[in-house]
Amino acid sequence: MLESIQTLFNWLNGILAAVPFESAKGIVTAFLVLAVLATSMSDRNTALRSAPEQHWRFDLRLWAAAIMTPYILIYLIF
Amino acid sequence: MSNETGLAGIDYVIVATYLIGILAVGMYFARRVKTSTDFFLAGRKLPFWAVGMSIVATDIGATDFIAVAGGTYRYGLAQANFDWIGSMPALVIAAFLFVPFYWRSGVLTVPEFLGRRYNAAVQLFLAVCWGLITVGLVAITLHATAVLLRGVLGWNHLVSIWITTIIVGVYTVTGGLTAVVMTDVFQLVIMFIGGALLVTHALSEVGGFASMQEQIIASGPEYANHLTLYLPHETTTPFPWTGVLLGLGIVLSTSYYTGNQNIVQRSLGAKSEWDAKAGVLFAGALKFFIPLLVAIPGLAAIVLLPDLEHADDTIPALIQLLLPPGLKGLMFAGFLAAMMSSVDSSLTSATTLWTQDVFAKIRKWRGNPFTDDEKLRFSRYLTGLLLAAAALVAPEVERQFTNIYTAFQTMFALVQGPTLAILLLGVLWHRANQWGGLIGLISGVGLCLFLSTDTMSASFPSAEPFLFISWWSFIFALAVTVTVSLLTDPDPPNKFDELMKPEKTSKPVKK
Repeated sequence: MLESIQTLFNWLNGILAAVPFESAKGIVTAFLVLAVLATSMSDRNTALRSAPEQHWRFDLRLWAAAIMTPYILIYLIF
Repeated sequence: MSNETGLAGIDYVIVATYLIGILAVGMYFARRVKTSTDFFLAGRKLPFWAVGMSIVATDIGATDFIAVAGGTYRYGLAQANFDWIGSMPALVIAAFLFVPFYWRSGVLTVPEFLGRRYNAAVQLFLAVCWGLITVGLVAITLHATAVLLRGVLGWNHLVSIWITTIIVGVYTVTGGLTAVVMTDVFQLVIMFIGGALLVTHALSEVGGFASMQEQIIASGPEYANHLTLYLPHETTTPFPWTGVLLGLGIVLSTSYYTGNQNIVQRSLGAKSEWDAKAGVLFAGALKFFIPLLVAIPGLAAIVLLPDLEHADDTIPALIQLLLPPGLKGLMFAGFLAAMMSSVDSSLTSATTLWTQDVFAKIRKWRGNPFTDDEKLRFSRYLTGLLLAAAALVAPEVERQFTNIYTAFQTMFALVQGPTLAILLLGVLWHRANQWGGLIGLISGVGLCLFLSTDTMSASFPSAEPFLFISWWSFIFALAVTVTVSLLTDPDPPNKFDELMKPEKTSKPVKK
């Protein structure tokens, strides 16, 4: 039983090990960009619900994009 | 007038001013507490900037300063992943997906939310786990504070523990979350000033960032990976990129920012749903600077102090090397601020969990529910009691540090993956039912325990496989919850709708 579980996890780790290291930067950056895109697709009313004003300055989708940008740059540069 | 620890008279004045200031701020806001909602959720009056600053102050302790700088010195920039990919994506998910549901449902705790979504057993299991973890964290942080006070001021360890206990206790027992959040704001400013001073002096000493990079690369082949965030899957460091993305970026950080009462409680106290969400995003903006304040000194130390015996001595050694009297005191006050903000936050969360999810439930089951006055009085006594218990345990942490620290870290890691699995399914999938949630949670924790054994942890590529264990326990708990939910009767449809459907009003639901 223990051996078969170990074999299973060795196999699962083998899958992760097979992903080329050269693609790491692309995959991680894509993950961060995807998070921004997901928020930008949310409904405007939801993003502004109970905001002090219904003005673009309070639109949290823009906040998320602005705050995520330096993170994306850091993962692209380093 | 400097002693052997390097602090001069002006430094003591600055530290004393900080301690008096923190007490004054805490006591000022403590006067506003009249109800249990004031105590637990700051009366739901917190603006977004206070929510965001308090989340960061709670998250960052002095141990982070020491450990992140030490880790950067040892492993390089990859250490910063914990504050970069390990925060912002999770904070975005928290702000857009979880916080609106939490805030609108009017709950006080995450276990309470899951209790209403699944059942009372899920609530009790998680509340006891998190309740023990948070009290443990208070004890460990009290011990760490005492080590710092002993090392820098030469104070007795036990005396240091009780002085910190009394200062934090005075404003936390009386002021609850309001006092804690407002002192957190003050403490975060001190932390940022202290950190910025060290970064400025360190970069100036090494000739700027570009020059530092060149000098690190020239230091030898062992530093070849010190300036990248990505390390190969097969690595001797704890940060292989696969583990960082899956275990940290997706599971541990999301669970931490959406399922950890210490963090979530601040957004529950926001004055509106928008402030709750904006506060979480604002925390993400602030978190970006944490690695800059801590990792850059760690990198600069490779150039300035290449022969350090213990990596965790990086920050104290840099302070001694770079900062003049006065600024040393400010930096030391920053450390104290980081520690005290962690102690008071953990304490408030522990009190909320034990009161709301355990004792209030027991009183309700016995047909004698708390009145609001009783709950407020009980919470204050309990805060004092838990703090005293943590202070009594803290000296024991020194005697058995490895055992106690490891036990709490393990417990912390055990619940994160499975908690996230049932939280995600609970919010996104109406068919997830009470039995799926309960069995998914318990079996996920069981798998974590099993994978943490020496035999099994050898199956993972990293020397510290917790990132992979969290990832696989999350996947396993997801699969079990889905399977059991599909094999058992669905919960009544109104159970999901009452908790999860967006309300027309932006006010939280009254229970």
